[in-house]
Amino acid sequence: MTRIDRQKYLQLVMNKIRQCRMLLCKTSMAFLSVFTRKRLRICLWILSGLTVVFGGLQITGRMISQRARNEFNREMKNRIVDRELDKKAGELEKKIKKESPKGFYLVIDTAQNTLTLRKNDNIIHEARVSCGSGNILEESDSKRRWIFDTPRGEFTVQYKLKDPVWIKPDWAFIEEGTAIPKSRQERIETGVLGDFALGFGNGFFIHGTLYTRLLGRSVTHGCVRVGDDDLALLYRKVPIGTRIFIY
Amino acid sequence: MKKEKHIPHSTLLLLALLSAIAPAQESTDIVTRFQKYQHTQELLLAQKGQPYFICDLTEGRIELKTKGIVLRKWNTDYTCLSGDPFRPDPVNLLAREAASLPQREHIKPGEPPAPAMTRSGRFRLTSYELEDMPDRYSLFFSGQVELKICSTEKDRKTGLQRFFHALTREMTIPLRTVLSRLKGRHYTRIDCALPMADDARALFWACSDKTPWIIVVSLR
Repeated sequence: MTRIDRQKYLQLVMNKIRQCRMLLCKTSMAFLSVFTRKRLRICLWILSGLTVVFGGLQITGRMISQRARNEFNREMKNRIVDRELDKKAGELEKKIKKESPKGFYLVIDTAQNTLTLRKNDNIIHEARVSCGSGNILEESDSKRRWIFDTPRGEFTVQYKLKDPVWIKPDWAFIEEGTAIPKSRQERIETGVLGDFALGFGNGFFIHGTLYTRLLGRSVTHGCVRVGDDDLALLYRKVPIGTRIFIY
Repeated sequence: MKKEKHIPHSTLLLLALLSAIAPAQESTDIVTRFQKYQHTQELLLAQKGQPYFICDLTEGRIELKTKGIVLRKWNTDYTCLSGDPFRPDPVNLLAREAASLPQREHIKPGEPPAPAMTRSGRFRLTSYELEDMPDRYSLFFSGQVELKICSTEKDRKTGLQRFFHALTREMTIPLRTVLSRLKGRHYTRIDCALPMADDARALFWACSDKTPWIIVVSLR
């Protein structure tokens, strides 16, 4: 770079800096000019108005809540009669104790895909299971519709089966896209439900699986799939009539 | 000259002590009675045999129960009640609201869903699973009670976000309280943070519409 080039370059830079300074000055002047005395006053009015509204709301809201709280405390103090409550609670406790499960019961968590075998409040065994996929299947002419959810609520073990066979329901054929057979024999499939099955009503079972890698995931059509070892233990320990709580 | 009678210091001290104890005793009585009342309400629910939730804001826990048996328990990190208090009577869950609600997949007949293996070695499924549930949502109950659930794991905000969140909260809650009072109704909002996102999702999964809840608030 020659000396003249350098001077030209410096001049160019200086010009750019000057331009930037001018632009900054102009914008700041324009910004300040917006805030004339009148406008500033309006802004202050708006701001104070907002503060008053906000503060008023806060105070009123809090006063209402506090009043409601005081009323509530007074009501609680007056309404609740000790003796009546004790009597009622005692009766109810006895009734519930009678109905609560004695011995083993099963708790199935469909969200976490876990099954726990409990006795009183103690966990005896825990197993990874597969519950309903929650998918929807509709017949092509939309006559029938199935939601593959594991039912929730309280159930009981109604029957225990050894070497169970699967009698395929209609949805299995519709899902596969094959014709629904007329004879029962054509519906029978062996070896897919594992070594044992515990039925808990409406065609739902706790049974074994060939797809052990999918245990812990929601993949079934509503039944509860269990691994072979866990299933054998359940079959051994759980008698007919055992309560099942599914949530 | 007549001698003035003085009350002994020990008597004064005793009186002061008694006056201090009396209100405390009274408030303890109310709390005990309140707990008994809540217990009776819970027993009445348990008797019906259907599952129910106990959301105890004083203890910081939510329990899913049936017949008095605890099926699942969630501990809360933080709870905050704003608006009107209410009696520990059962309230029914009317609706669940979230930014994105999970959708169920429709199976096409003849094309059963086959699990595909992902790179991480996990099967990709077209099912309705826990991870599809929202971890930030609102539950609306009968009696104008709103329970907002989030997780502290996922709900990490910057300082500015926290400021704006607090500002909107402080603006909306008194406004809604005043508006509901003008309409002659009550309004209660409970903010509740669970430690893990999966806990919040599992709670969303577990609660279905019309499940009864008992929400226990502090008397003070």
